[in-house]
Amino acid sequence: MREVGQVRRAGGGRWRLVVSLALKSLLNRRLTAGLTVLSVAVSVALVVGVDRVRTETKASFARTISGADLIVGARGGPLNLLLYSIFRIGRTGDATSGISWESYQVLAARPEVAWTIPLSLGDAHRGFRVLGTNLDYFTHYRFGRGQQIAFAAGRPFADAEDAVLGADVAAALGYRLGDAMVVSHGLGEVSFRHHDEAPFHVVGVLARTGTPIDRTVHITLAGVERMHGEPEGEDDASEHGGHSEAGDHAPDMISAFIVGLKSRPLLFAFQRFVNEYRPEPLLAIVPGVALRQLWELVAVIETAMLAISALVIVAGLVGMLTMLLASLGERRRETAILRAVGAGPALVFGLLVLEAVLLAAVAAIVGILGAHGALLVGRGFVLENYGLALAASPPGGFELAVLAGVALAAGLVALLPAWRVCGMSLADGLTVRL
Amino acid sequence: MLEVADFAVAPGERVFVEGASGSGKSTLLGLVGGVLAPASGVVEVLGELLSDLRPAQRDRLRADRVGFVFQIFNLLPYLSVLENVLLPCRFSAARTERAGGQAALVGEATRLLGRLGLEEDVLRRSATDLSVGQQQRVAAARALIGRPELLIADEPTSALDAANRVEFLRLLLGECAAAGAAVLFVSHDDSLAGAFDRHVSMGAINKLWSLADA
Repeated sequence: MREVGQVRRAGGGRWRLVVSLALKSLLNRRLTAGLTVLSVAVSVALVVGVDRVRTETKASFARTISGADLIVGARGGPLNLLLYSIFRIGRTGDATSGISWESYQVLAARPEVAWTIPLSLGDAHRGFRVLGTNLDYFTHYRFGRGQQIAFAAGRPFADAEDAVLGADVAAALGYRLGDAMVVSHGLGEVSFRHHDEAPFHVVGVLARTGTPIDRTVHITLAGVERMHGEPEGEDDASEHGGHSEAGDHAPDMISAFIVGLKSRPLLFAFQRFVNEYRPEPLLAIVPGVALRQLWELVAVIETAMLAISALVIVAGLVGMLTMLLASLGERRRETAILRAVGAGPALVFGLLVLEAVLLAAVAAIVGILGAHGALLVGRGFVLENYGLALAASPPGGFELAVLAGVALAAGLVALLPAWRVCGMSLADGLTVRL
Repeated sequence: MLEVADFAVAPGERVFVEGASGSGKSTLLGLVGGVLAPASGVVEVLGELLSDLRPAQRDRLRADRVGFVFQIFNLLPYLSVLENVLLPCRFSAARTERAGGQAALVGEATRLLGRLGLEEDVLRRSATDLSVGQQQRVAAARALIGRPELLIADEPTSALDAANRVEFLRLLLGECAAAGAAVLFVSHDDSLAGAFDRHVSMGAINKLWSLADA
């Protein structure tokens, strides 16, 4: 028992020595080692960054709407309808030119419908989308895992002059309750046409949701009508999804509406009913199905991006192999000295493989932290410019797999130089001059 | 090229091998140290036939029982003086045991370096920060730690001036005597031969060299 214990202690000490020697040797070659780490770290950061953006984008989309059975809009592309009405991406066009108020009322009154949320889009306030809706929005809209919209301050809108701001709108523009705001015409960040005659007053600020709601100004449908009380051109009507210009509180048209059904099994029957609705061409989409179509559409690009990223990692590892092979000349003396004092070929072999694994592991950690750091710093920019809320989540299983994969690949890559150095003549290494 | 009919060193014997450049001195030491393999014939070191040993076993033999002092020191630049000296003990439990055990290693290294003329304050310095003479002493201490049974020294004094050469040799041989180690010392400088038990020329060892010389 005593001998076994001694052997075990000696074995553990030997590997501690190998790690210590590997670290010191790498520090001694810190410039080349650092450049190798940098090249692999950049490639790992690219892979992790692409994956993080991919998964966070999906998660961001998935948590934007919850509990809604259908979205109904003018007949056209289902993705266009989904992106415009829920994610505030893109502009209305022919595909989402709007639904007449009469059709909306007819469909909302159907017995299978539990609730509806009308949506009227088309205006902006200093780069933030303006959504005309009603109080059902605050009652029935769900996001994330069925969370209801909550107020950080104030109350829901009550009349046509009231506006409720998403958390990011209030934070970015510095609005407080009671402040007046003028909504611009159209969707651009800079507009030369302001609805100065119809200023709104902030009556509520919503709690942060991590969805496009945070970047939306909410007003009543009456507010939209009030804002567009004066006559405007045809292009304006199209842009707004067909707001009424009559100035009364019931609009002629809305952009879309969200439907909650009384019973889930009624979904496809009601969807078919809407899609075959005779008075006007309409389209009803199931949000989850439309999202799946979206992911199928971008899957090829995703795969291509991940493949390119993986190839960049391969390039980084080939760079590491080149560095290891190029350094064999200077390393042969070092390894020969170790052999001469009794290190043994297995230890020298292990030393070189371990060095590569350490380099790769450090590079992977630097790359992972770098990617997460960059996303943390850049998520404000992404949210502002692309409307995607990238959550600041800690590294997870994918990053762990990348770390393990890169370290393993580096170990395999190092087998060749390690084998070559072990095959080198001991005498040759010992006679190399400084 | 080296062709040796018969050459032996007795336990504890101190042998000086002298020869000009190209006479095969380093090749002889490489064969004895198991660094080189003979094309034919046998090399027996400390009772072990080197040709019967695998590379790892030859490394083990060196780690446990042989000290090597190289002409160009061969210290690892990224290790401190102390770490360089202790390196053989890291690979050999037997050597560590003979040096007094794990706990006594630093003390033994300090003692050896002191005996070879190096102060304690160099222990933590990088080995390559030292002067040539100091590096040579560190290389000698590394070879001697753990009392090897055979010390192989390849022109270890070639980088030293005359005064330091004699002093270094005195210290080295004194330490070997204390350890009871046999010494195989090669040099082209035969003025050092008087300090050894036996003086052999490469011409007497290498048949090919003696033919060429003739």
